[in-house]
Amino acid sequence: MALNVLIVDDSSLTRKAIKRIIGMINETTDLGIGQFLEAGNGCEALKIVNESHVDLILADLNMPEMGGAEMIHRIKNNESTKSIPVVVISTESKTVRIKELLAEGVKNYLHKPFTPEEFKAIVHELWNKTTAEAVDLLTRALSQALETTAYSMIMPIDDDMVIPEKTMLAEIGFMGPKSGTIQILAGVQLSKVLAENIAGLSNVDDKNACDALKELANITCGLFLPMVVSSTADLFDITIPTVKVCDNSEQWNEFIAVQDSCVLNIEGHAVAIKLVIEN
Amino acid sequence: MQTKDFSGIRNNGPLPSPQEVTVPNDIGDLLADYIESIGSQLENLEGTALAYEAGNNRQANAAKVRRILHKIKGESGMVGIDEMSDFCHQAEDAFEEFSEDKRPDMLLRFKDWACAAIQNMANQMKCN
Repeated sequence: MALNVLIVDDSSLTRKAIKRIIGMINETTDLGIGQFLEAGNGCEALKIVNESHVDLILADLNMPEMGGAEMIHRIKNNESTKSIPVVVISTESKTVRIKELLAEGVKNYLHKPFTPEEFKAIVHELWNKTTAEAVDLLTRALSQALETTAYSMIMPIDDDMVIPEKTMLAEIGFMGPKSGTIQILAGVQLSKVLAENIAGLSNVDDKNACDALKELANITCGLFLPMVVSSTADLFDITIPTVKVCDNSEQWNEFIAVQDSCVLNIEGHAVAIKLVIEN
Repeated sequence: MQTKDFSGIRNNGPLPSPQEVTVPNDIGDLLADYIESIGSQLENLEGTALAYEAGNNRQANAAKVRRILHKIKGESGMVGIDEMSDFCHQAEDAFEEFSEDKRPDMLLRFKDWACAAIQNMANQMKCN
């Protein structure tokens, strides 16, 4: 479950000092840091990023051959690497340049020299996105799962969408750098439509609907986790999804009353999604 | 810890003693790497300052000086030798403030002071 950190700096001394600081923090507070990878300039860093599993990049700006800004631009414009969080560590004090880098997708900026506390705060911020951000990502993952797997269209929320009475609650757990549960609450009617689309069945029953919702939860979870941590390979264990059927119309109201839930309109049917983070 | 005044590099005034640079206790094996790295960069700085003085590729050499000072400042800060980092900062400012003919002397004065400080650190390290 360890996270690989790539340090990009033309000074081997600085790379060593950064490793030392992070190592010291990791001994007292488990940040989940695993292997350190090192590059002396942007070119070397791009090669490593394309060949190895990297979860976080700490990059200097002023380097020979290829500087940090060019490297970041290339990483953020490459589909396979753009989700890797980059933190700039530099003595650069020009706020305009820092703002430009943040606009380019840089996660944060640490001024050299940084304290262990400053680094700790950044790592926590990276791995523990705010709940609002995480719910937003989860909603995106569900939308993507519905559109690509169940061929269902996401529509704007409106007053005419059907609020389900008999509901199915799908739940799937994940354990790793973050642990928690994803819950999807959908009406039985919609779940049957999803079953028709996902499994290609014409006469679906409740069991088919349950299976379709489980499948949807599984795919949503698979899409969501890489959005939280750049690369999920070997980082998360995912539980087998379960589905509970409920005839109580109150369930919907209770579910959406929670702040960390979000409602989507799937072809006129309301679906709610919730993220429960355990650590 | 009292902050030392390195403004003498900007106004040709006195500088603190290079023997009194504070080295953090927990620097460990980074000190040997630091001494080696800064020593090599100071040699590089001296060569560049002399080339600048001779008038060869002034613009390129000025850029090189800026890079070296920036690197020494960054490395000093990262290992916690803040006084050297402050001194570099003052030298960077001096380089921008000074006229072209005064820059080389300032750089050589910076280099001599920093070399003495590094040498003192190396001696202390041998004693320990």
